[in-house]
Amino acid sequence: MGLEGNLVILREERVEDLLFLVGLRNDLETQAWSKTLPPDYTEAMYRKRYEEREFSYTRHDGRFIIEVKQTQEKAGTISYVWLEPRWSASMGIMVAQKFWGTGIAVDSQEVLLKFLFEELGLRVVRLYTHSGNQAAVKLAQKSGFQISGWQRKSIYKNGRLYDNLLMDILREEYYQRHPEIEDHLPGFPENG
Amino acid sequence: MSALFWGHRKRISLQAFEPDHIPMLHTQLNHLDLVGRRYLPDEFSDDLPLSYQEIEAIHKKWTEKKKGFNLAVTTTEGGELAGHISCDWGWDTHCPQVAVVIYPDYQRCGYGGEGLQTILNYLFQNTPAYNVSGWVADWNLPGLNFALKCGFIQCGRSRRARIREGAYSDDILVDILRDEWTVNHEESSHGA
Repeated sequence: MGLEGNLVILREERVEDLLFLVGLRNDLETQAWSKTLPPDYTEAMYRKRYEEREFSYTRHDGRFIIEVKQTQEKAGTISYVWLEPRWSASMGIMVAQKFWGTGIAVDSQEVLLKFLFEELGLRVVRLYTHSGNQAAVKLAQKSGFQISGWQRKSIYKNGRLYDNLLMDILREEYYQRHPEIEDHLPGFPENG
Repeated sequence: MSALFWGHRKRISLQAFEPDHIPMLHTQLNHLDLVGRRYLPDEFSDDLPLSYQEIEAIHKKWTEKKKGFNLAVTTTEGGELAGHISCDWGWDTHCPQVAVVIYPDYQRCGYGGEGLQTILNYLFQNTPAYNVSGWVADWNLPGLNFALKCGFIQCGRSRRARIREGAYSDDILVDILRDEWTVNHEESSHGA
């Protein structure tokens, strides 16, 4: 069940995951977002979000728990939002500090990218981070993302101004990195 | 009609949208020359013909916007609806996004520049805005030149933002910082 990689399985959220998610969100290091959120999220908030998710065949997002294959430990969460069907989506990831530097995050990214390109037929996948989060930039670059846009000094965090970074990977770039997979989806010409 | 701001050359005023703008909006937003650059709420097509009902819904969205505003650009002489200006700070009031649309029959009269400078003046002098940005389709060269002429800097792009006429098209990110605007503003106020 779920999406399987070398090190991880991306599976659905369960009730027993909620406290773990609270911990990730309230840790200012793992939160590592472009906008600092107050570390006061509660299990009740996450339960409400969990319970409000409706069944639908028309989905515009996906949210997964990252589970370590070998130990079944929860390592983080990865998601995609703002899905434009057959076109684009934005990705986000949070990994618990204990698993930093273990390859879990890269493997999770690769698993989700494969799903987005191979199953959802997207043309481009994007993510947003900021110039003060070099760990996130390097993580994304490991999967082939490149910095395409930099909104100058638009993030204020840790008392400093940073550039908001838009990173993306095109479908062709993904398949070039994975020659073992053939792309059967016809493309369009590049901008004339 | 409620007048909110006068353009600095008093050729236009920026007003709240009122119900009697709707018939003109229906005409102008369906103008062929505006296809692909209408800057409408996300759920409305930027390319397809818009029904009167859709225009009413767009008008309603604009007038009820909470984290931003949409204003009508009206000519001082004649009181005609010449365009619209959008501003969104849903993400962070530090970095709002703006869009200026001047309807084809009213272009090349300086209304866009006057409207944009009025809004920049408002944002930089009366809100926490530090970075004001916008997106321009890469095929919209007049729009890009307009932004650059108003002091915006090109800082990357969102690749494959859309398809247009059978080819991929990017959106170009432009932004201006409060410090840059202040310098430009002081220079222009020292001019003749």
